[in-house]
Amino acid sequence: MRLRTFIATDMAEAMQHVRRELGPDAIIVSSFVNDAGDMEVTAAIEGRAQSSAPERPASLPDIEASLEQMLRDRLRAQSSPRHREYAAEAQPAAPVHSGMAFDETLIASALDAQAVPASLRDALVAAASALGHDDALAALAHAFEVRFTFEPVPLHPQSPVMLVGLPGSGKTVTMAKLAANALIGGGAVDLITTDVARAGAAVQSEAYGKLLDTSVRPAANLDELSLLLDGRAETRNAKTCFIDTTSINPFDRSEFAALKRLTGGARLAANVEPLLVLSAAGDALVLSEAAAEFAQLGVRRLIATQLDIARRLGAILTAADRNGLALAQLSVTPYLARGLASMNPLVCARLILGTHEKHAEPQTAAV
Amino acid sequence: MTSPRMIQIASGKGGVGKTWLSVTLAEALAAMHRNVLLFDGDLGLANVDVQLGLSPALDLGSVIAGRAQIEEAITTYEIPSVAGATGGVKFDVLAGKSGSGVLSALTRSEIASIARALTRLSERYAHVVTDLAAGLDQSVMTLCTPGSTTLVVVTDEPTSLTDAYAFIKLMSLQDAQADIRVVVNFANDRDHAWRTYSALTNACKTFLGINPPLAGFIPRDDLVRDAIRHQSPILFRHPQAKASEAVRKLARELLVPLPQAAPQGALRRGA
Repeated sequence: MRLRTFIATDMAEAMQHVRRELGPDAIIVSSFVNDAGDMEVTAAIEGRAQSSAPERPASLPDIEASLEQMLRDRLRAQSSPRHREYAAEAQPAAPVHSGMAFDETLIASALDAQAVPASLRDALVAAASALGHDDALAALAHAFEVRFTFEPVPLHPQSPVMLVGLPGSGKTVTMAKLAANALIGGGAVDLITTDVARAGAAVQSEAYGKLLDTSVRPAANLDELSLLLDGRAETRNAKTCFIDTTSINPFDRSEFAALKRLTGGARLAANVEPLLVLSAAGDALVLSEAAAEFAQLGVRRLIATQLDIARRLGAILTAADRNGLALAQLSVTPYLARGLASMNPLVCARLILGTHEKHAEPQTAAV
Repeated sequence: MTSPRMIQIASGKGGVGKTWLSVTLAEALAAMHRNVLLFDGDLGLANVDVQLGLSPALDLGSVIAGRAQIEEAITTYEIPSVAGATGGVKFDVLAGKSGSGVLSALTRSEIASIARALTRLSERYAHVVTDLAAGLDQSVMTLCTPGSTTLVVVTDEPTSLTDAYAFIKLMSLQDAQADIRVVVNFANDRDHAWRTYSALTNACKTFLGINPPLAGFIPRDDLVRDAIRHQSPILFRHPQAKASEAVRKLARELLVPLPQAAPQGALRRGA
């Protein structure tokens, strides 16, 4: 809602101001003669300043193109000395202007195209609408800020991070990407895997370790993992530690119980944080139910993968929303280096609207 | 409708006297011999304890850190009587973690679990008064428990009116049956309060199809500032102050059921 107060000599003049400034749909919420004898009129209009031709995208966004654009933006930012701080990336951007006028129908359509369930779509549209932004991107970003929590995994998390998830969600490559980010950021990493029994797992871990020029230490069970974690504590090993785990079916009670023992023991041993790696290429209901099971293990945030396959954020958003999970990172490229982008309200809004804030091009002064 | 058990004080905008009203309303209800819990729901910048001059050994931060059960973090605050140091009324306080900002980092699931714990606790009390944080973010909306009565504090400032409107809009979208009432603070007089209330509710009626009733208004009163500065309850320090009387009246009227027959258009959605 926009609220403006006009002071005029009489009601007619005040109404002229109201119509001119706020348009014919404005309503008068208050009018009275003030102490100076002038007419004081307060008028309101729901939503935005009038726009005769709301700027709509020609078509709904291609999420793959958005991911590519995001990667280009990241590379551009990282090539600039002013933007090398990883921490800065994790911060929501300053107020933005995409040039796309706010339009509830547009945002609802964009959320529909992302397969966002109707209840969540309506809540996001309502939040976007309530906050009075003229710009669609800014409004949707603000709605995400209201509705979701964003907690990117820092470059060098203080406590070890244990990646858990469904089969095929991309835990191992996500660990490698987190490790690559930490290495690029100037730290050392300590990689552990409990996924030692699965066929090919050792080869996969070894291959990633080779690429990162570091070894991946195996831990076949909680006892071995505890020994490694205790060893880190005893030697005051300050390396950033990531732990890969065997995928589980969370609806299989024995598999779930085994992972629960592992995560619980690791938390006791070294305050290890379980982090859910969730593929976007799944059914929203199934992913939500699975995420609910993982939440019981103490998971409080997730990394989204395979968005290039899913091309929709709906399932990830639903899983996070229904289980109160924070959004941490999303996978933007199969490559290890800079393969993860921190999620924040603006990133989500950009992916959904397929738009980008307008950057001022650097000017070169002629001499 | 029976007298409300869960009472939330909200505003949208900060600095409109929300925490002061929460504290004083708790005092007023306690003075009416009601069993009251005051909960500091401003998780990012808790300061109910500061207004009351309390230094509780345990608070919500202790609960979140696992050092205490929520019941153990409750402190009883006894208001001294005007005549002497004893015989005053008392109410319970669940303080936040003043000034630390530690609670602002809670996840939505953690906040939801606090809301559930609060609902469980409410069974022991006649009223639970929650001082919500300013703003519209998810921590505020998550603490808004269904079935509560929400008092939205507003002043005549345009920013206060628009933020209060935005809060009411989100609240009513979250819960179509929400019991939302308006409290006008810093009112110069009754007419001024009514103009402020009407500006807000005219917008609510037109744009949202709802008509939240006026719960009361608090006149501008310098004695409020004096009581806050002395970290002393205004009902004790200045019982005859205009603001004290206004909050007592607000508390009395809260205990009276709302009339069933609403005015034309009132509480009707989709108008």
